[in-house]
Amino acid sequence: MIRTIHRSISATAIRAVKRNHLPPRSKFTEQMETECTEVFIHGGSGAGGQKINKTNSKVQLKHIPSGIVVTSQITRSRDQNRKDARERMAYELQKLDIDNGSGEAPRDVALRQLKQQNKKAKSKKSSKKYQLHKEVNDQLKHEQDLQDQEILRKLLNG
Amino acid sequence: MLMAENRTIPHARQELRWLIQKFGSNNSATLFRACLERNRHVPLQYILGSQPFGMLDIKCKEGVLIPRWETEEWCLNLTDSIKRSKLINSGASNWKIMDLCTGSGCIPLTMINETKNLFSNQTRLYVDALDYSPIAIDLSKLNFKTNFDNKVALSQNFNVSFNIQKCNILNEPEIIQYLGKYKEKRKINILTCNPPYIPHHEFIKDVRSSVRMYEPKLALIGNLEFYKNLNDLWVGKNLIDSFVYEIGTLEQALYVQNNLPSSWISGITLDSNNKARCIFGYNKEANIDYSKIFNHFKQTAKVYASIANSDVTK
Ligand SMILES: C[S@@+](CC[C@H](N)C(=O)[O-])C[C@H]1O[C@@H](n2cnc3c(N)ncnc32)[C@H](O)[C@@H]1O
Repeated sequence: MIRTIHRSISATAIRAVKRNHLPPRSKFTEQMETECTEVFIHGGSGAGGQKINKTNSKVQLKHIPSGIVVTSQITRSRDQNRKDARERMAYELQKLDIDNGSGEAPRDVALRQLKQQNKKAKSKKSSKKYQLHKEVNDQLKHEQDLQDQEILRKLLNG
Repeated sequence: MLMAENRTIPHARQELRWLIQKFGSNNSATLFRACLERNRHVPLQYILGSQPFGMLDIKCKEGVLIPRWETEEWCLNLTDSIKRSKLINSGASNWKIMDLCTGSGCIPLTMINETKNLFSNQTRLYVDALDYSPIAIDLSKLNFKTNFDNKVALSQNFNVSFNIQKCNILNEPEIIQYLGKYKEKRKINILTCNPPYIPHHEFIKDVRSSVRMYEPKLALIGNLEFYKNLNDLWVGKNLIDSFVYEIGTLEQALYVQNNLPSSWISGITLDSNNKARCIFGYNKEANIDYSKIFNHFKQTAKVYASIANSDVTK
């Protein structure tokens, strides 16, 4: 139930983003690629290749000049996780770059302003549900975790 | 329940999430059965029915090896190196890539997917995939269909053709006869292979129970036979210009290196877990300058040090 609400919010937000021509999501450049080291976390020095069948793949990206580290393991696809890690790194680096005191990326600033505008238009209650892109995701993940735990508990008891 | 195959709670939780994504959380009976299977070491990919490989979604079925990340890694390194070499846009001649022991078809299908845009009216790509197992043949056909012909109609939109054939690779006359059917394009530009490479004595000792119990032995157990076949037949009878073979032990790679003719350049690459993972080689007297591909291939992977040095001194 809660989940669907969040989905529809982020969908609305995306439409709003398009309508209002917000600054694009930060891009991972060739230069960033050369400034980063990538590590795959494979779980140590045990068996490899045909001897073992791993189901998860964790990617860690480190930006040497700034020391920022991001990891991604959200999907089963290594390729997808690599792309996701790069997107996040680009986001972090852009945040670092912006010297507006708040450490916010232009996209986030615009999103926040958009959110404030919507606040005026809508009732206080519903506008509260508007969250920044990242926060929505974090919360969604957290809820999924809780849900998983609940199911796990059910399975273990029954 | 999922802890049987997962070492940590976050891993187990993540797997549970994937199982829920597939089976939903409402139908708890199906989900419960899936968890139970997992508890009995059934590979997750057989339960979910697929494994992502590069940009592709590769269907997995019992009886066929599940693609590994190591294979995905070198395969994408290779296609990346081909793209960067610019060899294809510049030459007007057709290309042929052959994958032996193709299993699910993950390697040749990725080769097609990553390079199909390079082939135009004048240059055609022929990709061949061979395996001895009928289940693997069927699955690789299915994977071709679901990833291409149901989506992009490969033959209509790209100048690429794909052919799958049941063949015993260790049977030389059978191979020669198969190759003899080709009139247009005989010489193979790149031969790829991930042969069964786990030596018999290591099978019980080192192989994870999920692999040992559920994946086919025909796909796993082997030692030097396919590497010997590479030297004797494919290189020996001058059927190929270059090759990349996955390896399980350094001994297998050294066997290949020690038996290559002097006109061949070779190297051993490491995977990102620092294990020796591939042996590659190319004929420096071939019409095409394959160093343009393999110098980059060497860089994208780490190179097994002492071999890299001996390579330079050659
Ligand atoms: C390690 S699996 C590789 C599968 C796939 N290429 C991959 O990388 O995931 C080895 C494959 O070799 C096939 N095979 C074993 N012996 C063979 C033979 N003599 N001739 C042809 N194929 C063989 C098996 O059926 C199996 O599909």
